[in-house]
Amino acid sequence: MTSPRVRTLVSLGLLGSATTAFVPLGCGAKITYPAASEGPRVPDATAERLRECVDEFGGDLARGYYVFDAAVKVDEEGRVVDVASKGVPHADLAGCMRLALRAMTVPEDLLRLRKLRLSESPAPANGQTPAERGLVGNPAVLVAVAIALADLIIEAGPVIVVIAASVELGKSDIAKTARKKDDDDDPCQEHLNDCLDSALQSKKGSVWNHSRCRTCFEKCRGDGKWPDKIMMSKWETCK
Amino acid sequence: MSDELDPDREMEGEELAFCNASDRLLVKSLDKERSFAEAVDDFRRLEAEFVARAGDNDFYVRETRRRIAETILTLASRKRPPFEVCREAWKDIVRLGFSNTDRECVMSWNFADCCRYDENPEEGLAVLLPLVAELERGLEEARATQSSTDFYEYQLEPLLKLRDDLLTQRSGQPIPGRRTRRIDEARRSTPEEDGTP
Repeated sequence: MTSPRVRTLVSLGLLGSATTAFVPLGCGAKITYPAASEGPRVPDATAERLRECVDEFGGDLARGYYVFDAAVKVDEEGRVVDVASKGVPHADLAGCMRLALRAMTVPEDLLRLRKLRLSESPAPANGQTPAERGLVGNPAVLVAVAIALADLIIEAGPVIVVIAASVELGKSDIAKTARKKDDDDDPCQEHLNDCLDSALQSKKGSVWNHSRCRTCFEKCRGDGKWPDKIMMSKWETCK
Repeated sequence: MSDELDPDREMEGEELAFCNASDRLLVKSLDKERSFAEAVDDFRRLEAEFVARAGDNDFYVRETRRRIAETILTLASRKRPPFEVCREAWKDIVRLGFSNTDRECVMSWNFADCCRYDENPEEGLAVLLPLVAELERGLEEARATQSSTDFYEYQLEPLLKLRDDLLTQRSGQPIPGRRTRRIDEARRSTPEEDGTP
């Protein structure tokens, strides 16, 4: 993977000169990609979520460039299991962006890249072809592959946040942890299904955009059993 | 409780459409084969769709974002991703604010449950104790004025149980019948259970 510092300099240079792909946005912050950027991009839905973070918190930052370096760890089935980050001196913004990346669905082509990489014979990292520039595996062990995503640049007025993310695919203790299956049966799940099949499914819950069945389900999780009734502004049945 | 709408009414329009879609997704997400990350992605897509449909209606936008954030924390409490994920989901909810006391109680319980599972009692108690104290004050006031105490008792019951679990954990004692990440990981690493010879 290209070092974060080099990636940052390249990104900022490209930002100033390139013809960029602008994504029209309803709010203040806007997303750009350097025209000459390489590597897979952050999925659009994740980019939009990151943009929302900058839109919400970017105003708290002083004018200037900020580089958010993020390492996204993904398990063997493509599920994000951890996000490590640095570079943004704003806890809420950093947290918001980590959460956005945590929710990212890793593109299928990245997972295919990993399979391709693992099926090849080990090769020295310095023997990469230009097409492999973004790929750096561990040639000795080959249990993980890190892929640099194209830098994502989010501009919010005088603040520019460059998101330099890499995806690490492979085995890790964290991945193994996150892959665990919950083997404790949820006593509330079947009742939720039944509720949603009943006339209660269209009844209102405790707040707007919240159904009665959902409120009953939440009470079930707290009590460990499906409630007969729940307390809203008055008692309402769950059965 | 601040919801002024009649809870017995039928939902309709956008609210019904959102709840139907959200509840269907929740059922799908609770499937053991569905990962937390996949579920979050599903709900973020749902959020984007309904926020777009809400247009300039700030109330719809805000409440939709809150419901999605609440669902993500609920799923974190159920699917047990790393603790940091649960903490970030909780922070997201706090940032968006609570629609009413019921929401605050339910979501505080979910976060405290994450804390219990990861044996982080101090962080859970830091959320639960002030909330329990507030509800107990309300209960006392209701008793003093001979008003209904149902709401306070109803909300306090699960919170007090979890508070007691966290206090037990803080004292270094195990909580009977309660699983923790450490217990689950130990089980997985036991040869008889994971098939290792």
